[in-house]
Amino acid sequence: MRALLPVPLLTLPLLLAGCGKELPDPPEPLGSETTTDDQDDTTPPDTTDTPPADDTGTATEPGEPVTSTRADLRLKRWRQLSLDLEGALSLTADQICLEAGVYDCVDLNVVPLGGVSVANGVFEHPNTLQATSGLAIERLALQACYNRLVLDLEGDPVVYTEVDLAAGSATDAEAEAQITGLSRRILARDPLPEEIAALSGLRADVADEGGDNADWVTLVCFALATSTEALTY
Amino acid sequence: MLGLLLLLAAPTAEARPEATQLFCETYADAPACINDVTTCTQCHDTSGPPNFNPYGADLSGALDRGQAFEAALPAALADVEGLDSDGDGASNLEEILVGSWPGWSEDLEPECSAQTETTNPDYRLGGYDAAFAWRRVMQDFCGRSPRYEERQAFAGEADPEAAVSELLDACLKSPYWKEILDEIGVSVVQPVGPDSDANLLGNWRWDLRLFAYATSGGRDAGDLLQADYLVVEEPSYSGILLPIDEPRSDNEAYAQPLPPEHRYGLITTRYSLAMRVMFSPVPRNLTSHYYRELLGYDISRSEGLYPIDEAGIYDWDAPLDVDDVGAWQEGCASCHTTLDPLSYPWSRYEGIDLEGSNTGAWLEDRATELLPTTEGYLFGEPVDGPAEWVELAVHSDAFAATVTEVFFRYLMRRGPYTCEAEEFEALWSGLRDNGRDVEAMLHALVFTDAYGQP
Repeated sequence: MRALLPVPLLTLPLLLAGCGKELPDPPEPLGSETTTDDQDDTTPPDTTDTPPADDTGTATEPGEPVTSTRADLRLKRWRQLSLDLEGALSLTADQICLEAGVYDCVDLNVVPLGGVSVANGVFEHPNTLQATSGLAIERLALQACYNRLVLDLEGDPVVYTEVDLAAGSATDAEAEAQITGLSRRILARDPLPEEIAALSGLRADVADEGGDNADWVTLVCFALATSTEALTY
Repeated sequence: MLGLLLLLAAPTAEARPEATQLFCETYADAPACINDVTTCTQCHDTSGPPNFNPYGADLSGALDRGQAFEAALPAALADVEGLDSDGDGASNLEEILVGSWPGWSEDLEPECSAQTETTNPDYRLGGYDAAFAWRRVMQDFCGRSPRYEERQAFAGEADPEAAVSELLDACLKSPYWKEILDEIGVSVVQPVGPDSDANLLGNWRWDLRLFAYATSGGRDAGDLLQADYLVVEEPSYSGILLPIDEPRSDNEAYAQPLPPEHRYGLITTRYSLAMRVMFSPVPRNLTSHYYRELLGYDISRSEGLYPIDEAGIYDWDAPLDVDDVGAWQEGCASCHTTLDPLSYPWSRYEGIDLEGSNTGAWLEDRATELLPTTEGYLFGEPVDGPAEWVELAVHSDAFAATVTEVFFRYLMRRGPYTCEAEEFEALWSGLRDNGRDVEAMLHALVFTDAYGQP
């Protein structure tokens, strides 16, 4: 929780299996319009050699952005997470996440998400991560991203507008436009070139698992919505 | 393992609540002694006594066991002043005088170290960053992140700090902040049971509404302890809070039975009296709760001890033990010499009345056989009755500092760093001197480096 700069996004495993969406069979190859060179360019940048800043906020290489000595970022609490997802994905509160299709995930997980619970005698706001905080956050984000997909498939797309959701491939320009749109909605900024590369590269992983554009955009949404930058302030 | 070793190495370790005051008699000007007593963790591990931190272990080793503790401690304090118990490079005395902890090397607080380099394209490091503060204000008080278009617009603001202030004004009126005031109120009121006006033990919704009302709209937060009005939400679930002088229905009269002249804010709601007085003639839980939550002193942690020697017949300070619970005993008296006199002024308030209809009522003759008067003590000063008690309380530094800290901790998820102590004191002294207006304090808070420095 010390770094202020956006962390490199991780390539995520396919997580949609539990969401009830059937993957097309047989899958169309994703990125079929992308050249081999382009695919190489979309490999997530290797940051393992990035020199860390020391505790006094001093960069170890000239030109490297330094980190703050203070850097006390805060994890968004339950209502903040929900409101951000509602705004970013143009959803109502009851469209974000329901446990078993019935119970509001935010209400059920209010304490792991940093809230108080009179019913459970939790009067103080937990200010540290709990064992199930990550699970609760991911559940919120994944369901919200997926619920947006369902709505966009059923009617005129609102968020996933730049690619053909039923198709298995997209042009680089379409992919970049979709990533840019999601970044603006979720992070309120344009994506960095390396982020575009990383998220475009995710399409190959989705294709390997037999997914299509619908799966890919959902995971891009999920990756952005669960990034350090999106979850802290 | 270290804690275990310290425990084994200190078989004679014991909690000495009086030590927190004795420490401050020696170091009266130390920041840790701003309220005349320090905390147990000055010498003990965070888990509390008997485990010592390194400073406490050195101090324990320096004590002359042949003398009484009170007599031996000053010399032992002097003996270890030159040591560096926590090994952080500063002597114990140096740390005590600057307000860091001689037994905690991590208290060097890297967050307070100088920002020697500031090259960062996204944040203004080492100083107040209005864009960063603006985003935080939107999150903290409106509950959401700025949209892309809003960030673009803010980048073109001619007066970014004015934009921060305008945003805060708007967000303090938002439904989100009204809900958050309820949540913060939960940490102070600590509700238990159903929120029904028909509940024998009271409906804590009245308490939460009063908390939210008194800490919003530019009102005096002193009403948390002094309000003689009740607060309702009209229409229901609208978030609109209105004060009323009298209950407007039988249900409301059952929920809040006290007449205005006997109401003292959160202390005397039906919920508060039923849950914290219960059946006791000396309402210790009632006063210790708000002594902790709104005056910042947790007696169970030996905080805020101002012993009053009422008995005067033992070798130690002792209370009168009016209700014959053995509070005069030496091990009990260290807390009860503060707690009991703190509670006497509230003895006329009934807690739970299972056989009649006096739950949460004020009864002129209640407990008079034990306490003929309502005289007592707060902060070591004599007070007669609840009105004097709350008057002294709301005008105290302790009240201003505690109310400020309640909001600071909610927003920052932590207490102030030592390098923020000056800013924090300015916040609570501003609250104290400006009508205890919480929203004005929050306006000042969002312009502190503590809040707006990335």
